[in-house]
Amino acid sequence: MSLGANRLVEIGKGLVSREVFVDREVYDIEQERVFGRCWLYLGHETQIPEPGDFLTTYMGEDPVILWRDPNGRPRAFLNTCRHRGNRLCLYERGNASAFTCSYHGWTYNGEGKLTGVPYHVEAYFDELDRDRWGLIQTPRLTSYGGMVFGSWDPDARSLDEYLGDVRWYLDAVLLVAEDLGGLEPVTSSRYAARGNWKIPAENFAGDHYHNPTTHGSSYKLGLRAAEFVGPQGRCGPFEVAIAPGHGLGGLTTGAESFERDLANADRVGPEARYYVEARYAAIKKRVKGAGSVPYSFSHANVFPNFAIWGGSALRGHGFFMFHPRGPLSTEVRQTVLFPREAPQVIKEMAIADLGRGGHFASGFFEQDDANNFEQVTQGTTSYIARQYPFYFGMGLGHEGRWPGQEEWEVHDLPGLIGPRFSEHPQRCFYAFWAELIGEGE
Amino acid sequence: MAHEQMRSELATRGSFLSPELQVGVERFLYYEAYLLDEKRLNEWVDLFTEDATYTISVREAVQRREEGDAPLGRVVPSLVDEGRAFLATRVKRLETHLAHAEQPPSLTRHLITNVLVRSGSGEEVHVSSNFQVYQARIDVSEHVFYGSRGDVLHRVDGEWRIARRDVVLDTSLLPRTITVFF
Repeated sequence: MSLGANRLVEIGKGLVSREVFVDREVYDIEQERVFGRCWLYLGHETQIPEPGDFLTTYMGEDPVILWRDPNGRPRAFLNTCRHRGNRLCLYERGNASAFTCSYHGWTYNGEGKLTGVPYHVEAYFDELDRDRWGLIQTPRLTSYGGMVFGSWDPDARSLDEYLGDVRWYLDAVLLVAEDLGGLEPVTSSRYAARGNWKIPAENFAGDHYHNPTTHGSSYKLGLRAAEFVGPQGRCGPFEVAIAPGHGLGGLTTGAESFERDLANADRVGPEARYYVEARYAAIKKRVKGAGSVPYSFSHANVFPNFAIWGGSALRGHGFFMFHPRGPLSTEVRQTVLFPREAPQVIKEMAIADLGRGGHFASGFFEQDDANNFEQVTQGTTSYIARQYPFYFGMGLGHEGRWPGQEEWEVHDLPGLIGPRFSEHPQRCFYAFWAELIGEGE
Repeated sequence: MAHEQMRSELATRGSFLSPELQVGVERFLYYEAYLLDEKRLNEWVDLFTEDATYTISVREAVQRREEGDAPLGRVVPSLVDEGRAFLATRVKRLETHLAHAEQPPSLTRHLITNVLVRSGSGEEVHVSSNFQVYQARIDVSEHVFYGSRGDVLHRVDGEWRIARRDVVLDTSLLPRTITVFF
């Protein structure tokens, strides 16, 4: 298929073509126009605390090294030797003052400079322009709240501008950690999933609707509180669409979820109660002036593929990356971070829950989500199936005029705030995606 | 594990390791695998002692200048660190018929090899073994997990029971989510 022949995205009708999830040409264009241009999350500064510390990750399909240079500045380099393209670093993380290519021995320092070329006199007559053959570095790299983002687009708008109002929520709810000792990574996990990267990304952007069905076993066993049993609450959960393509949901506001966390904390002990109180007090201080106080959000997606999981003071935050590995495959990487001052007992409970009921590869939620990604893919790739679009019309035309919204405790909160069951964040995601690849309305 | 330690274990084990003990331990592990593959999961859980611990770890390739590389990479004990109650909950979840990742249930085949009784007595043994676990999900998804188990078996009322199991998967990137048992 060729772009332009058929509309891939028709947001006004709530339609997204299945080609978006399976077509190789769409995927290749997406590598260029989405992953080659957007700000992409690379890692957290606390994962590379010392000079020389590095981790390896991806920007789109491109392998990169996030490396703290000798002066303490994080840099991101393409993980490839300039000479013949050999992958330079084969480790997931560690510490190094230089990387030497295993093919011919070219060596690069922490600033990306080519510092060593074997036999450079005999082989190159000392004529090699080393400045020209340094590592390929992202032209843009910015740290926000310890989160390091990079972009290959030298003309990209600032990270601040790109994040837009999603920053307001992250400042208040995620980065309240800065008042509690700062975020620190406590554990991580990764697995291979069958399915296009956008399937989990849009799910994290705004899909509260799948919870009762997909995760039915967890609710039936009483492992999770079912927040959708009653009617839509006035303190949430809400789903929020945030320009240009971000989504955030499971948002709760005000004192209700604070009280729920307190009750759960009391079952753990006084240090847990103290922590939950300290966190809430810090959030209130951070948003002073706002009408309503955001307490927590359970899922978010910073466009394109950086998802943030949470939902309670007792859970910490998962930073999930959905790395594209071809149109039909995704590598899911998950790091869990906690405010340093959170009691050890809470951290341990949260880690155990991730592996047991939650979002690690062994957890119940993740098992069933990954099963959906796989079966969506299975039901979508074939010839006839591809001709029928997906429907994203939930809540279409009701934006900003939802029944009962005047009761909601969301005063002065930014973004387009809607009820727990609405696909406006996904429409926001695909509208921006279509704009980037030059498709859609 | 360090080779020196392994050698010394093997040098001293002759005093307690009879062929009968080796065969008995192997028979127990094969029976356990049979229960798993037959989906007799409640019976499988009953093979664990009440206070049993069960962990699943993966390996991570970490480069360290000062220490050199660990030959097998660092073991990351992050996925599962649980007890028997966790295993029972996993089985209960399957019984809700709402565990979509296992509806219909995966077909599995547990191949258990290299059973090495490393230390212990007639009442408690430390056993390492290797596994290959084949998982077929419906008709479109096939995966194989490789790894090792370090088990501590206790003899309870004349029968072996698992008091501790440490599973280490030989990968850092899991091939899929973990919906089966090891």
